[in-house]
Amino acid sequence: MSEPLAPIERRIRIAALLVLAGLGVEMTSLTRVHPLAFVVFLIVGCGAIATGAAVFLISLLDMSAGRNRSWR
Amino acid sequence: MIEGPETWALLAISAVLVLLLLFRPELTRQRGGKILAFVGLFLLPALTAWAGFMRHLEISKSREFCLSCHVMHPYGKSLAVDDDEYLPALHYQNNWVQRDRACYTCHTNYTMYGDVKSKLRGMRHLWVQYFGSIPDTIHLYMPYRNRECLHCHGGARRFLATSAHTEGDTTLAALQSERLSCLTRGCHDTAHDVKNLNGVGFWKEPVP
Repeated sequence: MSEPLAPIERRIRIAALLVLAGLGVEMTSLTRVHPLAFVVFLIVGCGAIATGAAVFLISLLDMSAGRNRSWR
Repeated sequence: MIEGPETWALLAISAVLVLLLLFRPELTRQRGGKILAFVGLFLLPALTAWAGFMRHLEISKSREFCLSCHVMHPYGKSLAVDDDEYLPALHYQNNWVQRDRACYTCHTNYTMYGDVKSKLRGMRHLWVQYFGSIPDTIHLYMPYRNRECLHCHGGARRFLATSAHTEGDTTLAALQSERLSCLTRGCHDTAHDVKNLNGVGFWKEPVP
């Protein structure tokens, strides 16, 4: 039986999903030549990538905060 | 599909790394996995988004991009008018501008590129296209500047040899200082003229 994921690892999974969604939107938008494709890329694609990156960075902070607490 | 193999390569590499972290998040328990996650979930996606943005900016310079909105179709059609008086058609058909960038080459002051004001105007065009009402006659925000013409023609032999450009002491200076427009009535005053396209003949562009 596989080990259950730690909360931080679940967050990394969420971050990965968001970034993947953003990359998917970017890939799709690059196949279309239209102003709307640009706008969708900017708002949805970059938004998802930024959110995913933010979730990951926050999980890094939590990782280091968790280590500090256990050290004390 | 639009070219830009570097962008596609970055997308592919980013996607592979992200998929790896999606299915194996426990990799981040080790130090190497944390570094991999930092690259795969932050650095590479940021770089890929930037590459995608630059790629979209390049795409926005293409004729296909400008003509993708229905309201612009007559302007695209006017490029094939079989009449030397039509300035855009003359430039387009003689390859005086790059055909796949014909719109951008002349209208560089308000396309989705350039300064922030031009980009915001482009967004306004989109808003009007989908939520507003498109006017019957589309006007430039400001008179067409000689700068866009003289960018290529200024100092050219043929331009200087044309007597109308150099007659009198002041014509050339007036053109260069924009006191006299290149599009003055009687000079190069026919641009797209989309309202009168029904009665004109069209040049059939040969298929390569």
